[in-house]
Formats: sequence, structure tokens, C-alpha cells
Amino acid sequence: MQNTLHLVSRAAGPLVPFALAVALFFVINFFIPGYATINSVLSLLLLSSLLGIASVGQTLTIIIGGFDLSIPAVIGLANVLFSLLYGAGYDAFSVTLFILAVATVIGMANGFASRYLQLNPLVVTLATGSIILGGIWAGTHGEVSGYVPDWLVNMVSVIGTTGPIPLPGSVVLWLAISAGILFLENRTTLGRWIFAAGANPRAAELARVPMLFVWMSVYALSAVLAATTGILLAGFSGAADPTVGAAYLFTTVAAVVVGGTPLTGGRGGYGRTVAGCLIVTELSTLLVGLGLDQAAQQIFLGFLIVGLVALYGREPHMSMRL
Amino acid sequence: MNEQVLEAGANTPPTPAGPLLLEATNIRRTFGETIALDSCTLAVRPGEIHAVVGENGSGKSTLIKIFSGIVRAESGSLRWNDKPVTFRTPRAAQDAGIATVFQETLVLPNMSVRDNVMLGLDGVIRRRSGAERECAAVREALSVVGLGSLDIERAAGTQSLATRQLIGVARSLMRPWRLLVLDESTSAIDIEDRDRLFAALRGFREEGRSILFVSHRMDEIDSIADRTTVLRSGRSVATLERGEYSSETLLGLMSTRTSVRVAAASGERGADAVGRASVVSVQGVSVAAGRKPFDFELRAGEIVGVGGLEGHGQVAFLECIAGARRPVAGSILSEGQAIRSPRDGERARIAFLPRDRKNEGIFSPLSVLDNVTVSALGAVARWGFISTSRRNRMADVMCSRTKVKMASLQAPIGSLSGGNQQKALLGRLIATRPRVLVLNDPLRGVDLGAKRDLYEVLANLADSGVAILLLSTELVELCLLSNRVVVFHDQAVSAVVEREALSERALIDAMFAHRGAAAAE
Repeated sequence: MQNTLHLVSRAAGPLVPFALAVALFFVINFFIPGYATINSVLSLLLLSSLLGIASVGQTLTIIIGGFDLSIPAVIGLANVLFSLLYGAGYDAFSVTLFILAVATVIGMANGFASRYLQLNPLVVTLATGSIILGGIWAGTHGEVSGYVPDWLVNMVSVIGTTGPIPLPGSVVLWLAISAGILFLENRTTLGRWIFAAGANPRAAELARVPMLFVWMSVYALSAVLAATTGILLAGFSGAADPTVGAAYLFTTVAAVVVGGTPLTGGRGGYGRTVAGCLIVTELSTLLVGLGLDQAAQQIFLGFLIVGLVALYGREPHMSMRL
Repeated sequence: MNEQVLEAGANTPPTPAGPLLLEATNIRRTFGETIALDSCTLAVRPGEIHAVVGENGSGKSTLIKIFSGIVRAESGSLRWNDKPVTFRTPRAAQDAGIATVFQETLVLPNMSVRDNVMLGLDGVIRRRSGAERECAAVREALSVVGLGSLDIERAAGTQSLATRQLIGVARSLMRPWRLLVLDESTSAIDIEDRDRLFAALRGFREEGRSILFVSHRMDEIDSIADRTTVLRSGRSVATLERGEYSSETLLGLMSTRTSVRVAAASGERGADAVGRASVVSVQGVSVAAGRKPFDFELRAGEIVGVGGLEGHGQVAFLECIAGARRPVAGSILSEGQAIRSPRDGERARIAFLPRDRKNEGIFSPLSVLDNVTVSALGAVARWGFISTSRRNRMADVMCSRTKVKMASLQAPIGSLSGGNQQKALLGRLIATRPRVLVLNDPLRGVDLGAKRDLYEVLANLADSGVAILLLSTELVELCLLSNRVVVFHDQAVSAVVEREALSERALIDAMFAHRGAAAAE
């Protein structure tokens, strides 16, 4: 049975989660009459875009057989740095470049420690996250002030537009990044190496896949896009907050799993995560609309993840292979 | 005369003398569109060793899964001990007395040998008082399969593939059983261990217990099977008594094609290879401390066989050539450059095929396309951007050169038969345009049809000037394919047998060299 399910979900590819995302939209409209408006769609896309950009790294690190638990901390770091430095008078472009460079170094360190030093990526990224958050608190003593440019606020505003495109900048950026990541996955050497590295690390090594390069690139990309989310969030809240990324630890994993990328590595892809982001955002909208508080939402998402992992993430039972 | 035998075998239903232990009649099973078993009939008598042969895809695995309670038959009847049965779970089959050892045995690398043997037997909470008795039982099971001297507290992952397979066999012996099903469980085991295992199997037969034995090796079937059932495309074609058939007969029955003769690689190739340039030069190399060093030249266009009993240094030798390991003494040169690291090997265009196809070879969920091109993506990409058409063309060319049979390039490699997976892996190596191929037992667990293809592929490669170092545990194969064979004994080369002197006898003598000819008798 499980096998059949697995086969079906594979054959249908990423279309199943997308269909689910669309269906869910109408389900929400059923429970919350009057939901289906342009504004709802825009705000759904906006929230999904923030989650989606942060989830790129989670998707790719899971595919190579790792995990990135430092995403929330990197989001927080970028968020605080941007407000501080821009507030101190540096121009936005230089500040952004600087933050992305810092993120690249953090990500490369994560990849290097996980692959070259053979440390468990869960522990490595958890520790990196802890170091970063600790650093922010030590550096700012919890008092962060500063401010952000108007264009950044516009990028993450539901009524914002991007030149002639009637979509907020954040959504346009997400679309561009998604296209880039799909291209990376399918049409570049790095992309195919990512899947090989995750499908069978030992075989990949013997097949001369440059494993260290793959791991460092993936973690660097993860940190850079987490930092991008952090900068966008600065426009969202208008104020700096080192803990702004906290929610993204669980939701990025949720988006990956709901999209159907198995935690066993080597399979799935970002296309699925895009749908996963829409579904996760819709679910929280629905739960909020039904009057559930933050705590109840977390409980629900927790059960959802366990259920889905049980559905597609399992290997055939041991007794079948003894 | 052969034909008469065939007729007799094919038309006479296996009418048993006396009661049957297991009787499967007209078993059918489909998976979606695929008919795995069409109509399969097979009977196992008490106290017999019954072989099942057939090309990959003939239904052997499915049949065994039905006997083991993993898959259920759609129609047909299954009788155990003269009573109709259906095994609904693996547990039910085990409780009835059927012990199965699968081809890809599950051995948990980080657990001790002892825990691996006990796997699935111990309760949730282990009773401490039974520890000593448990150890004794584990040792006994291991000694039956010839592993009596194994340190049972060591991690199973440190053991060789052959030993891991034998651990799987030992595990099955721990429960009371009346029928032992071995699904190619001997594919990695060398002759010495295998003979010991076979002796144990004959012992079980004397006790009135039965063995159902799946193998691709004709020599194994010759030496041990009382009766042999041949499957072809999901049907049982014949059950033949020992002495009723020759290897040729079996091959003929199995094959869906007309040609049964193994495509013999040309032995003449050796003659003109002698004058060719040396591509790898081994100078004063020892693979273990204090062992006699040896010199050796590998020339373009020749196939050099590498033989020896398990663990006598031949694998270390292959790894040294590929740069995956450094010799204890001496040096390995390719065009004047020393080979000391995998990168050196890559630079010298030496391609290495590891032995463990599943764990070290294939990317099971990925497509054939990915699997074939992964090592040569640089050749079809610019600045890291892949040209899809060039990549597809590369995969097409490689798959047709190595005769991979598949639904499409997009099919996951895990869905292919073992033989076709191996061909695809060979394609992966060829895509890197190697000058030297170092192959660690490439024909292990490959069905006969695919073997024939692979023989041809290897011969063609050699003809095109590639030097091939071929480790095989099958003597017949070494004799058939090699221009000469380097035989290892006790971590050193005991003999280099040239083409003219090549025979199974000569190889066995060399393998047992230091124990004298008597041991080989």
C-alpha cells in the first residue's frame, strides 16, 4: 500500500502539492466566506514569498542529506544588521552586499564543518545559529534601533508594485529566485551533483562528485537566501528584531516536507517546496481564520509534519528485508 | 540427446516420490502492467537441494518473496507440508519453518556481528541471563557457515561483503527451519568459503531438511543441486534431475534468445597486446607490510584478470592502482606520473568500479541519465551550465555501447535489473574516456544474459585500446576473458598465469599456493 502511494506521488510529480494548494484556497473560502479576493491572493503570495526564499536552503540541504537549523539566526542577523547599518547612514546597496557576504561566509563554514570535518550538520548548524544569536545579543544588548528605506517597505507591502508589474517586489523576487533554483537543479552540474550527493554519498564520492564544493555551495546559498529573507522582513516590521526568524525554523521544514521532498535525501526538489510554502501559508491563514491561536497552530502543524513524514518518508519495514 | 532430455523435462510434471515439503502450482502474480509470474510450478521434496535458475526478470525474486510472505500470489496454490497455505507476513513464513536469505542482505554496519545475527530474534528487552547462551548459539550458527573464528563483538560494517552475506545466512539458521531459501546469497563468496557453506548445506540435506537455492553460477548448480527448476518470463519451463542436463541445456532453456553460446572474448587479442605500450607500471609494490614486492606492467588493450581467495590482497591492489589507497612499499606509475591519490588516478584517466553496486555504485532514486553522466558532466557543460542535448546524447551513446535495456533514460536506475544497473555503471566509467578500467567483480550477481553482453562490452573496450584490470571470483570468467591472470595469495602475487597456461586448475593451484597442491584437491 505504502509502496503504491509512493509510486503514485512520484509519478504525479510536483503537480499533486500544487493541486492541493489550489484546492486549499477554495476550502478556506468555504470556511471564511468572502476570502477569495485579489487582496487575499496577494497577501498569500507575499507571506509565501518570505517563507519561500527562506526555504530554498532548507530544501537543498535536505536533498544533500543535511539540514540547516541556522536559518532563523541568519534571518535575525540580516534583519538587525540591515536596520543598524542603514540607520547609521550607509547606503542600502553596500549594506545588502555586506550582509550577503557575511552570510556566504557563515554558510561556507556550515558546509565545511559538516562535510570536511564530518560533523553532524544538525549539530553544526544548531551551534552556528546559537553563536550568531548570542553574538547579536552581545553586540546590541538587546537594544536595536534603526530604520529602513521606503522601497523596502514597499517590497513587502500587499499594495506594493514592482515597476509595471502589479505585484509586491518580494513576490517578484521569489518568482525570479524560484526560476533560478529550478534551473540550478536541472540544468547545472552543481544541481545534478546535489542530487547525487544526497542519493548515495559514498557512491558520489567514488563517482568523483566534488562533495566539499557541493556542501559548501549549498550551505552558502542557504545562508544567502536566509539573509535575503531577513532583509525583507526588516521592511515588513519596520523595526529590527533578532528573533524575527524564529518561526522559520519549523515552517521551512514544514514547507519542504509538505511539498513532498523526503528527508532521506536525493529526491524531491524546490518546485515541490514552492507548493509546500503556499500550503503552509494557507493552513496558517485558515487556522487563524478559524480563531485558533499561535499555540494551537503550532500543535496542528506539528501533527501535520509527523503525519506526512510517516506517509512518504519511510523506508520499507525492516522485517521485510531481514 | 539433449533435446530428448528437454522434452522429458518440460512435459513431465514434477511427479514426486513421496510427500512434498513445499508445492507451488500455477502461481501468478502481476505488478500493475508487469507480469512477474505467469504460471509457475515448483515442488521441493524433503531433504533435497533444489536450484532455481533464470535470467533477471524471469520471476525468481517474486517467487521467493511469495514463499517468504512478502508478496502474495494472485492465483495458484501453495501447499506446505501437504496443507494449503498463504503466508500473509514474513513472520508467518518464518514460523512455518521457511528461512530466507535475500540477495541484498540487511546487515546493520554499526551493530556487532552478534547483534546482527540476533536481529529480529531478540525480544524488546534482552534477558541478561541468556547472554552466554546467546553467544554460544551465535557462534554455533557462524561456525556452520565457516565463520567460527569471527570476533562476534566487532562491528559488522568492518567485515567484507562476503562475510556480511554469510552473517545473513547465519541469522536465518538461528530459528528452527525446514526449508532454507538462499536468494543469490553466495554471490560475493569465494570458492573456499563457498565450499564450506556447501558442505553445511549437504549436512542439512542429510538431516532431511531442504534448500531452495537461486544462483547465476553454473558451477554452483553443478556441484550442489539435486534438481533444478528453470524459469523463463514468469513460467517454470522445466524441472530437471541432476545428471539430466548440462550447463548448455540450462542456458538454452532459460534464454529467450536463440543463441546460447557464451560470447567468448577473443583470446587472440593477447597476442598483439604484447607489443603495446604500458599504461600502468607497478614497481616493487607490496600491499601489506613485509610481503614480497612485485613488478607488473598493464598494457593498452589487454584484459588482466585478478584472482585470489577473499582477503588475500587483490582488492587492496586494485585500490592502489586506482589511487584510492597507497601501497605499503613501491610505486605505481602511469606515463611517468606516480599514482598516490584518487586525484592522481583521475588525472591518469584510471576509472574504478567498486564491488558493492548498491552501496557504492548506483544512485537508486536518480534516472539512468543522471547515473551515467554524473562523472562526466564537465564534458557536456560550459561554466557549469549543462547542454541537455549533449548530455542526452552522451547517455544514449554510453547506454547503447554497454547494451543497457531500459524503458527510457528517465527511468530510475533502481527499477532496472542488477545486470542492467551494472551496464549503466560501466557506461558511467566509459563516459570519462578512461585509459584504464579497474573493475572489482563487475559480474557479481548479474544474470547470464547480461553477463554475455558484458563479456562483449569488455572485449570491445579492450579492442579499442583500453587496459582492463578485472577482478572476478569466478574462475570460469577469468579463464574466458583474461589475457593473463594475476593471482594473489597471502597479500602477495603468487603467480601470473599467462593465456596459454590458463585453466581453472592452474588458478586454483595458484590461489592455494603456499598450502601446496594437496590443499587444492
